[in-house]
Amino acid sequence: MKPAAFDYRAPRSLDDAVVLLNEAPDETTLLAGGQSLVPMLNMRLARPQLLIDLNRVEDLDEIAQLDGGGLRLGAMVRQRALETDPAVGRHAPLLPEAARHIAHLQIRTRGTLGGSLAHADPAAELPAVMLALDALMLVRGGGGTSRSIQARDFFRGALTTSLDSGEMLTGVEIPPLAVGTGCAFAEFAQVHGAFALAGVAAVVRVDHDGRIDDARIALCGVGPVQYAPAWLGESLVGESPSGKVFADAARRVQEEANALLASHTDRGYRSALAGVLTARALAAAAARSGGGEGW
Amino acid sequence: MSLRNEPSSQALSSVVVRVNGRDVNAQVEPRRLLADFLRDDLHLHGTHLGCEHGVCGACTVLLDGEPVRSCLMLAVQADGAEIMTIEALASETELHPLQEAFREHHALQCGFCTAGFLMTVLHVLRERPDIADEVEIRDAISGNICRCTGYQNIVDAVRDAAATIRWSAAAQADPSVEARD
Amino acid sequence: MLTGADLGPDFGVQPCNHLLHGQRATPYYALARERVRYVGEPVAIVAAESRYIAEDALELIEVEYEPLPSTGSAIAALEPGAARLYDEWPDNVAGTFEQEIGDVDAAFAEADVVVTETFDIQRLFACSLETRGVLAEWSADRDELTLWTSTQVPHIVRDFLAELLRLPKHRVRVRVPRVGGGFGAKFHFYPEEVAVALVAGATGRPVRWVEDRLESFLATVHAREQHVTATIAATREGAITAIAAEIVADMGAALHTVSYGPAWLTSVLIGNVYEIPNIRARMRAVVTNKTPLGSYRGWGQPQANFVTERMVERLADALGKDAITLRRLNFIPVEHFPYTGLHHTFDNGDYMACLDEALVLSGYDAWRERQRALRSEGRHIGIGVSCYVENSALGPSRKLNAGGVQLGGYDIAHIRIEADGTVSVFTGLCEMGQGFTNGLAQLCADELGVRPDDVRVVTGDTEACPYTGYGTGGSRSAAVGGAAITKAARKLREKITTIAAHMLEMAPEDLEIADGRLWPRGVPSRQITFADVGRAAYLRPIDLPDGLEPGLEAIETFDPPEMAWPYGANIVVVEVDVATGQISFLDYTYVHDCGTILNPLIVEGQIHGGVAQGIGMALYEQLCYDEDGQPLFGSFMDYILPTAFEVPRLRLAHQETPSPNIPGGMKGVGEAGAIGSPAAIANAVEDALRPFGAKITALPITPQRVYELIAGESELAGHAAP
Repeated sequence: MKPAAFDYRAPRSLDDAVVLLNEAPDETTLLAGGQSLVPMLNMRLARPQLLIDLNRVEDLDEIAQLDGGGLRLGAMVRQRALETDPAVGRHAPLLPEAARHIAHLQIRTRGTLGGSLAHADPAAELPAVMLALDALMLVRGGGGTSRSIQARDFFRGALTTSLDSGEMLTGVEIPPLAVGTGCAFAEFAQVHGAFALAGVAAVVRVDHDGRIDDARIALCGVGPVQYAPAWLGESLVGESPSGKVFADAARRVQEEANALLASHTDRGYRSALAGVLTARALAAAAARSGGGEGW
Repeated sequence: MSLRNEPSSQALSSVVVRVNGRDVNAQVEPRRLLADFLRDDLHLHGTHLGCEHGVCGACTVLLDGEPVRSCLMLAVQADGAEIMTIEALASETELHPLQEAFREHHALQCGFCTAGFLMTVLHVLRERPDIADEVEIRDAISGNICRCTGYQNIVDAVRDAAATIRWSAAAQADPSVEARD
Repeated sequence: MLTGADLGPDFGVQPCNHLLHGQRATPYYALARERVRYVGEPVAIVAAESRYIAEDALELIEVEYEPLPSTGSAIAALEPGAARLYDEWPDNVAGTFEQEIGDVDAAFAEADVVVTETFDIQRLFACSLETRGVLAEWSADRDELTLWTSTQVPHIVRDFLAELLRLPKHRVRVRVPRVGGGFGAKFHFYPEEVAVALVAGATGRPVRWVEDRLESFLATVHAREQHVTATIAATREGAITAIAAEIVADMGAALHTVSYGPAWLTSVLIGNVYEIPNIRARMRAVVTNKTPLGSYRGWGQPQANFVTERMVERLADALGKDAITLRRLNFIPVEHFPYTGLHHTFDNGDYMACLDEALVLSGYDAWRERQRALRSEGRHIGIGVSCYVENSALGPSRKLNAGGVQLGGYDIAHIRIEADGTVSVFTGLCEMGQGFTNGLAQLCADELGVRPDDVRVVTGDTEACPYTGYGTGGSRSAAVGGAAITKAARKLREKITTIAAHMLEMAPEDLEIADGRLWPRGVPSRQITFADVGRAAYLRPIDLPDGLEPGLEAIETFDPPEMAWPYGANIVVVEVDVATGQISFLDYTYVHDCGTILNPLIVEGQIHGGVAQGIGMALYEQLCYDEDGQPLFGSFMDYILPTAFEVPRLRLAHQETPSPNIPGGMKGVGEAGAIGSPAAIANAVEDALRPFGAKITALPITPQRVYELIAGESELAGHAAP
C-alpha cells in the first residue's frame, strides 16, 4: 500500500499556503496531521497532484484566549494538546473529554483539530464537539479573502464541508461558555480506540432555579451526516433536569438517528445506542452544571 | 491507458533528520513513507509494517520524543526532527531494562509487534514512571496490537520495568537505597 | 509482468496434500487462467524496482471481466439452480463426509428430551501481524532455486514448488526467515510462492514480494465458517444418549492445500468430552465465490466444541438441570480410557478433576451468589463454562494416510555434536513465535547431559533440516518433534558415554554426565568434557574404542503410535451492559492438562494467545460478504482485533498427566486456548442475558447482536451481515 506520486510543498507561511492551494485547488490536498489522509494516500483512495504540508506553517497551532472569555485554536493544534493543554481544559472542557476517545495516543500525537474538522468524517468526535459548542470556523481563501462560518453551516455531510475550492480552515473560535455550563461527552466503540458506533457531545446549563436555560447536543457515528438536532434546546429549556426529560429527548434522538442510518443493517442498534448515550451525556452535563448540583 | 497529468515523480525532496543520534541527509520521493525510509533507506529493519493504515502500531517510533505511527508519516515530514527507533534502545553491551523485562516475562512470542510496544512503553514510562495499575497500563498500550501473547505478559513486563527503572533512578540519586531483588 | 497465459497450457494446478472423501478437484493456478472465482484471486504479477513503482504499474493493467453469476453464501449455493462455480459439477458440493456410531435415529425416537439448534459460525482469519512474503532467487546457472518464504511448512512448499516447476526436489531450497506469526494460515502452499519464482526466473534477478495488509484480507486463507444444525437427545435424568450434527462448511472458491480437513475435524469431534453412545456427523463442504478457507489454530475443533458445549447448555435448559451437573454425568469416565468415540481413540483424561479444580479456582459458587445480588441491582453478569478435549501430536502416519492425508505424521530429528562439544539440532519444524525451539533445546540438553545454552536448534531450511512428516501444526512440535529429539539424543548419549568410558578406562555405567562433562561416579576430578569426546570422535579416532565409527551424529525418526489428547476447562465471568451491548470480562479461569510440561512459560504464553484469539472469534472478528461474494471488509477499520483493554488476565492452572503414548509424556498445547474459549464466552453471555430469554446461536457476539437478543428481533437467527 504505497501512495501514488505527488508533488510536495511545505510552505512556511499561511499566505504562501493559500497561494499554493489556489494554483490548482481541485488537484491539491492539504496535509495536516495525516492520520486520516495518509491511510487514504496509502490505499490510493486519495491521489492529489500536489500535497501541501501545513506542518511548517508558522502560527497555525496557537491556543489563545479571547477577550470576553472564548478560545481561539489554530487548525494545526494537535489532538494531544486538546487533551492536555490547561487553557483548553479550563475554557472548553468538552474538548479534552472528547479527545481522549480519538483513536490512540500515537494518533493524537500527530492528528490535528483542523484536519479532523476539514475531513468531516461523520464518525469523528471533533466535529460533534464544534457543533455542540457552537464554534466559529475561521477560513482563508484565495486572493486574501477570509470569512468565518458557524459550525452548523460548516459541516454538510459525510466528508463534506462548506469550504469552497481554494479555501482552507485556519482555526476555530469557541465562544465562552456561560458561567455554570456543564459539558459532557459520551461515546461507545467496540474496542478501545475504534471508530465510534455513536458519540454524543452535550452542553447544558442549569440556572439557579434548577431549570435548564440552555442545551445543545451533537452526535457522531449516526449515519452520513453530522447530526445536531436543532429542536433540543427548545424542548429542554425551562424544564428541570430529570431522567424523564432526558429520556424523552433521547427517544426523539433515537428516532431521528434511525432515519439517518437508513441504509445500515445495524440501524436499530446504533440508533438505540445514540439514544442511550444522549441521555447519559445530557445527565452528566446537567450534573456538572453550576445550578444542577445534586442532580 | 495513461495516468492523467502525471506529477513529476522524479522530483526529490531533501530530508535532514537525526536518527538514533546520527545525522542523516537524504533525498527522497515525497510519497515515501517514513517507515520505508527507516527500513529500506537506513536499513533499520527493527520497525515493522503490520497494516500501513495506522491501526496495529507495529511501526511506532519516537519522533521528537513522542510516539508516532511511522506508516502514517511521509519521510519528508521528518525533516528537522529527531527520531528514535528500536535499534537505539539497547546499549552496546546491555539490553534496556524494558527489553530485559519483556524477555523475563515472555512478553514476546513472534516478536513482530514488540518494537512498536517498546517504543510506546518507553514514552509511557517517561511520562508516568509510577505507572502500576493494571487498567492504566492496558489503556496505555491499547494502541498496539499483539496477536500472539494475549497481552498479559506484556502488562507484567511493563509494570516490572517501571519498578526497575524507578529503583535504578532512586539508587543513582541515593546509593544508600537498597537494591530491589 | 506475468499472467496466467504465461504459465503455459501444461502448468499444474495448485495441489492439495489432503485428499479426502468425495473430494472434487477445484483447479486453480498460480495465476488465474480464463476464470476467476473470488475477489483476491491472483490474476497478474508485476515486478519493478520498488513496491511503489510496482503499484504504479498495477494501475496500468486493464483486466476485462465477463461477469458470471456468483454466490456469497454456502446455504444459497446449495439451492437448486444456484450459480455453479465449477461447470462440470452438478452442484457446489466439493466433498462430503459422514460418520456414525450406534443408531442415532433410534436414539432420538426413544429419548425423553430432544433439542435442536442451528448455529452460525462466522468467517474470520488467522491475521498474524506479519503478513506473508516470498523471495525467490535462481542460482547463476539457473539450475537451483532458493525460495525464502514466511511459512510453517518449508518441505511442503519445496515439494509442491518443485513439482509445479518440474524441477528435481534436490535443486529447490526453501528457507524460512523469522516468521511473525502463522497460526495455521502459513501452513498452506500459496500461488504467490509459485508466481514469484516464475518472475525471478523470467527476469534473472532475485524477486521479493511482501504481502500488504489489504492483500492479506483477500489472499490469505480464511477460516472457520460453518453453519451447523445440531440435535441432542437425553433421558430425563440427563444421560445424553445421542448427538448429531449437520455441517455446511463454506470452503470459499477452492479447496486449498488442506482441502476440507478442518471441517472434517469438526465432524469427528462432535461429542467432545462426553460418553455418548450414538453420534452422527454429516458434513458438506460447499464452494462459494469467496476466498478459500484453510487452517487456523484449532482447525475445526473450536466449532465442534462450540456446537457440543452449547447443546449441553440447551439440554440443561430443557431438562431444568444445572449444566455443570449434566457435564459431570456425561464425562467419559477415567476408567474408560483409552476411549474410542465417533472416530478417534482418546488416550487418557480426567475431565472431572479438571472441571473441579476450575470451579474451585474461579470461585464459581461465590460468583453465582454475586450474580444473584447484582441482578437485583439491574446488573447483568454471566458465568460460562466449557470443557474441551483437543487433538494433538499429529499423528500416526498410517492413520493419516488411510484418512487421505498425503503426508506422514512422523518427525525426523538430526542431532550433531560438533568437534568442540557444542550441539546442533536440525528439525523440519518451524519457529513462528511459539517457542518450541526452546523446548526442544531443553529436551535435548536434558537427554544428552549438556546445558541448554550449548544447544542450537536449526529450523527453516530444507537444505539443512530433515523432513517433518506433517509440518508445524496440529500441536505436534513438542510431542512428536520432542520424541524424535529424545530418541536421537539418547543414541548419542550412549555413544558419548562409550567413548568417554573408553578414554577414562571405566565402564560406561559407572559414569555421571552433566553440563557437558563426564566423570566416574564419586571422582569428579577425573572429568572429561564433551569437547574432549568431540575431538576424539572427529579428529583423533585413534582414541576411540575398537570398532566404533568416528563422528557424533544421530538421525532418528519418531512416528507416534497414537495421537495425544490434552483437555481442559474454561470458566468465564462476563458483564453485559444492556444499554450499549458491551461485553467485558470480570474473570477468566483456565485449568488444563497437556501432559508433561517442558517449559511452563511457553505453555502459558500459548494459552494466553489462544484464548485471546478465542475472544476475537467470540466477540469481534468477522469477514462479511454480500450475497454475490463481494467482500464487505477491507482493512482493520472493519476487522476488529481485541486490544490489551479487551483481553482479560487469565487465572491458569496446570494438571500434568503424561501421555501414555508419547515418549516423555508431552501432549500438545499450541491450539488449546482457542478451542474452548468461544463456547465458554457464549455460555457466559447467554447466562448474563437469561432474564431476557436470549439465545445465542451466532458468532461473533457483537454489541449489535446483544441489542437484538434483548430487543427480541429475530433477524439475527440466520446469517446476516454485521
